[in-house]
Order: sequence, then structure tokens, then C-alpha cells
Amino acid sequence: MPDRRPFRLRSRAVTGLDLEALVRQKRILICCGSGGIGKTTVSAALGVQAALMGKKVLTLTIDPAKRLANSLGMAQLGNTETLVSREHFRRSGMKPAGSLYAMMLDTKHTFDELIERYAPNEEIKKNILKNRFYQNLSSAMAGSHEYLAMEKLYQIYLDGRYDLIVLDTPPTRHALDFLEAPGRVRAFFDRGISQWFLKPYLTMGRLGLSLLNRTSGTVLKLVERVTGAEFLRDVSEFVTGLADAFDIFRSRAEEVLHVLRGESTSFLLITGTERGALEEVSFFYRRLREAGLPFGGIVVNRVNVDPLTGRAGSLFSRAAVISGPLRESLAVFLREKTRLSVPATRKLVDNYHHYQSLFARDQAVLEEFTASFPAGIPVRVIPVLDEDIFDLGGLAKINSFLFAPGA
Amino acid sequence: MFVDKILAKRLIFLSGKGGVGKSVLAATLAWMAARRGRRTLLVELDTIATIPLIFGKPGNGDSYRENPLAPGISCLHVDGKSGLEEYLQMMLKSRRFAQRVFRSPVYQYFVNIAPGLKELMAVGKLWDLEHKTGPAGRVPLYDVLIVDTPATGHTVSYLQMPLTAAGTVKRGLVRKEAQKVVDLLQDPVKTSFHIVTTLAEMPVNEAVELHATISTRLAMPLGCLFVNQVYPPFLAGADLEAYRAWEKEGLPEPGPDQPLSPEDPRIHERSILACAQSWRRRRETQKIQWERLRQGLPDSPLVGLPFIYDAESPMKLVQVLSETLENTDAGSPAISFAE
Repeated sequence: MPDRRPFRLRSRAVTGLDLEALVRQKRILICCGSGGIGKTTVSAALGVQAALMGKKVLTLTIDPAKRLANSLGMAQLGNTETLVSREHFRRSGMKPAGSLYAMMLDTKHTFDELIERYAPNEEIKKNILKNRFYQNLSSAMAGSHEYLAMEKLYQIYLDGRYDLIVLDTPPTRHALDFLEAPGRVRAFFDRGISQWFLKPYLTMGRLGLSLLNRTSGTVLKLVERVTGAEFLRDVSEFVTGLADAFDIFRSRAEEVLHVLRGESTSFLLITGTERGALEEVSFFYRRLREAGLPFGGIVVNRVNVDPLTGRAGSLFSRAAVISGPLRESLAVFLREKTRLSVPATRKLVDNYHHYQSLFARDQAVLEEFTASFPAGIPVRVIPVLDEDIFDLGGLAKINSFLFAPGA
Repeated sequence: MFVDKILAKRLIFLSGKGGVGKSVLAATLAWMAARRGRRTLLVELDTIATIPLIFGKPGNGDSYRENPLAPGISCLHVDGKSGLEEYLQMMLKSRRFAQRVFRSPVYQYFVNIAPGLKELMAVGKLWDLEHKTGPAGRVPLYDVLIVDTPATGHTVSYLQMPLTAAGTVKRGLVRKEAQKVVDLLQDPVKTSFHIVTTLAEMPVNEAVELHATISTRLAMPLGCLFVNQVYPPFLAGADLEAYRAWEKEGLPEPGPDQPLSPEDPRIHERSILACAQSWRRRRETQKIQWERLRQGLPDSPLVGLPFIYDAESPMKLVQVLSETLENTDAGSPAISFAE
């Protein structure tokens, strides 16, 4: 049985991240991190554990790729909340006291819903829905994802149908936009600036431009030259059509930020041991602090551990990576002990060296990484697993590391 | 040779799921191109700036300037905002006036609301770089552009922008520019799009999806499928039998009262076996994914790259990978799961 105590570093600068407490106490958990480090898998695993703990939980992903469906072993997920069936859990030997729902955000659909709700009348609603600028804006453009994710998250939160929502964000660079979304939407729907710049264009055409100052006028002329006049007309129609809804959008964006800063939310940073991913997490940690958003802890995924004990820090940290002469004598030892051929014993010893090197490297990387944070930072480690994770059973395996009792 | 065929293109894209080793592979191809005496530009398309780190140089940061990394290799970080500013500056002529425009709140507002404009400008910059000539005039400044792209979903939304713009904007410069860019992206003589994956469930899924998107929706010329981080085959034949016997025999638990020196092979025996068992399981996991990949993409030329664990530095990794690629023939995919 592998040892699953939280990992310990020599410096002891970290504490075990108590995910069970977070799942029990919070209403929103947001997982951030760069791409390719298993963020979606971790989000899905948190959902599974919450369901086992008796919660009614929704795992929401806004990643353009269909990863959540993958992680939950489901064929497809739409913009609708799909219940992961009891039968499905049963097949993986689990009997959840609560229930797990999964959903993938359909950006276009969410935006349409918003327009339908807030357009002042039928005619404007119809015009906006077929406005080309709007269609472009609403269909999978970078930037609108983040705002819409917040909008959906907030809607679901207000509905109060779930005990917990786990949100899986897009890769970091865009997740940062996500933090800026409330501010950006405020700027976007700023009545002052949008009308100052667009109203004249709509009502007076090009003549209106001369009423603006020289720089603004030039900018608009430039925009027209670059994009063609239709673009500006489309923008005008969009902005003026929704003018009255701006205040609602703005106050909603502020409410969202308020909830994100509140007691019921926690941000988890997910990383691997690659330099790039670790740097992103450090950067993201600073951003959370600056923005006054609640930081929960760090999950380091795919850490090379001691294959014998399954632990991140133990035997190998004391024994240095085996030297050349020792490799030689190990090969001789195996040859005497077994019927393996000379090349085979060499392969096995080389493979041992391979695992040791990776383990030693990750050990050093994590030492350095955690040392750059305040002492006692909550961290959890998930080892590299030999099998692929793509069903509930796999997620349960991830949870055996995420939720192992503290040592 | 096989790699010469890859490097014969002017515009080489690499994409795939995050974490599969795109950046290192991009650096490797650049290294090989430079060794063939070709002036190479590595382009980071709105990714985290990591390529200069591979070459042991500081990242490009936010600067929008070509950064020399090694003889014959430069790197440029392309993002849409700088691309747009550069473009507008060209149109505005006066530098000071341009600066004032960029600071104007109306401009800021416009840049934020114009959907896809930043993405369009970033991809447009690739056209610009492909057409850039050296000080002598007619000679192209770069022989090869190797583009490292962000995670799959975002790569597609970038590359789709010129198509969308050419389709929706009726007049104006955007329309004209967009069509030029589309023509370059779809040009089978100049451009090729390679997919990178590892043998794990989700990277394989994304590779198969990406392949469909590139060939249908984007209509771009597809190159190879690079299969990265492949484990070597486990023991076979008589060795496998001997291994099983050793595994079955069971190993003695080292008692606490027999302290052994770290030099004693006996204290390593259980670890060697545990590592061997893990190797075997990982190879089996990869085999399953290999079969899924073959099934999903039966016609794609596959290029296998080994899992390299002992490179002391990313640059060393680049060198090892380039040796592997030098010895790869078009006919043999270099990986096989025949066992």
C-alpha cells in the first residue's frame, strides 16, 4: 500500500492543504493554472469527492476543449447541467451520498440568454441577435469567455441549487483576463465613454466626428479605414441598443467581484513541476493577493515520486542518485541473482537511474518553488501515475492523494 | 532526409495540448534549420515566453523585438496588441502622434471591444514576417519561421480569425489584409501545420480533434504528427520470463536491524523492481493510446520521439532530440509497439 501522507520537504516550509475543509466550507472553488497540467482532472476529482461527502456539486468548465467530459468518462457535455449517474459511480465502486453535475460553458448560448433577458424590447433584441458585431463578439472570441464564465457562475450561485460549484478556468493567461472581467465589463459598458464615442457616429454619421477632439476623431477615422464603416455602425447599434441595460451589467459585474472576494469562495492554484507552469502560478499568486481574492492553496500535479513508497520525499532524497560504479555493481548483482541477460540488467538499472533522476529533479524544483512563498503555504502533491486518468475510478485515485489525512 | 522535407517550408506551425513539449520541439527544429545555414525565426504566438529560456537567455518579456538566441536563430514574441500598434504606427507615420493615439481612451476602448482584432493582428504579423526582406532588399530576412502556438483551443481561435474576418467584413483594410493572410496560411508550398502529442488520453483526443479542425475548418496543409516522450519497449522474450521469475520470487523485506550501506546492492533491489514495474505499466498505457492514435488518424505520418530524462539542460534536450530527428527516415516512424 503506497504511503499517501502529504509530502514533506526538508525545509518544512509547507503545510498540507486541507481540501476536505475547503470542500466542506466553501460554495465556490476556482481552479487556475496553465494548460496541460491536469487542472480539469483536479476540478473533476474535487467534484467527485464533494459528491461522496454528501454535497450537491456542479463542476463547470469553460475550457474550449472537451476535457471535463473526458475526465468524467462521459461522451459529451452541453451547456446544460448533466447529472453523473449513480450507475456510473457504482461501476467504479462508489456510492455518493450527494450528487455530481457537470457542465461545459457554451459561450454563445450564455451570451444570447443575457441579451434575451436584458434587451429593453423585442425589436432591439432581434436586431442585436443578428448584429454582426454581436455575433462575432459572442462566438468564442478570446476575452468574452471570461466575462461569460463569471456571469454563468454568478447565475448558478444565485440560483442556490448547488452546495458547491467547482470552476475550471481556461489556461492561465486567459484566466488572468477572467479576474479582470468585472473591471473590463465595467469599462466595456461604461455609459459615458461608449456614448461619447459612438452616439455621435450613429446619429450624425461622419459629421459627428468633427465634434470630437482631434485625437478621438482620428482614432475613429482610423478604425473606419481599418475595419470598414459597417463595423462602427454595428458597434453603435449594439451599444445604443443595450444602453439601458448597461447599469445592470455594471452592477452585476461588481456583485460578481464581491462574491469572489467573499468568505464563500476560494482559489486553488494547480501546477506541474515544469518551470513555465510554476512561474505562472507564482505570478498568479501575486495577482490574487493584489486583487484581494481568497487564496486556498497550491496543488502540484504529476510529481515524480519514489516508486517504492509512492512518496514525494523519502528514500531517494537521502540516497543521492546512483553513481556510475554503483550502477555497474547493481547490474552485476542482478545478473547473479536472476537469469536476466547482460543488456536486460543494464536496461533495468538504467531505468532505475531514470526514475531517481526525475525524482531528484522534482525534489529540487519543489524545494526552490515553495521557498519563494511565505512559510506554511498549503500545498498538496499528486504523483505521476502510471495509468491514464479518464474515468471516475481514476479520479478516485487522484482523490486518494488530494484528500489523504494529514500527517 | 526526412527533416529536410519539414524544413523546406517557410512557415511551420506546431500545435497540440499544453505540456506535450511543443516549445522544445520548436526550438529543436530551429536548431536543425540553423545548422543547415538557414536564417530562422522562432515565433511565440501569444504563449508564455519560454523559448528564450530553453536557449539559456532571459525571456522576451513584453518587448516586441527580435531577440537573437543562437547563431542563425532569433525569437519574437507576437501578441495582437503590439501587432496592432505597429500596424497603425505605419499608417499614421508620425511617431509622436501614434503614441498619443495609443494612450487615448477611445483607442483603448476600441481595442478592447473590437472582437478578434488582436488575434487578427497577431496572425497578420506572421504574413508580415514572411514577407520581410533584409537590408539588401529582395532577399527574405528569414528563411524559416517556426511558430509555437498556445493550447489547442486558442490556437484555433487565432488561426480562424483571418477566415472569419475575410468572411464577415465586407470592405476596408481588414478585409484586404485578412484575405492575404488566409492565402498564406492555406498555401501548401509555403506553409505546413504539425501536431504534437504524447501518448496519453487527453493529448491524443486533442490531436485527433485538431487534425480534423486544421484540415476542414481551417483548410491548412497538414504536416506530421510528432509523438513525444515515448517510453522504450519493456523486456521481451527470455528476458521477460526471467524478469517474471524474479518478480514472483518475492524480495526480502529489509529488516530494521540489518543496517546496510548505501553501496550495498541489496538495499536497491526492491526499488529497481518497483521502477521496472512502473516502466512496464507506463509502456502498456502508452500502447493503448498509440492504438487509439493510429485508429483516429490512420493516414498521418507519425514521428516518434523518445522520453529523455537525463538531459542536464533544455539545450541538451534540444541536441538529443535533433540527433533523433536527423536519424529518422520518412518511411520508418521510429516507434513501434509491436511487442
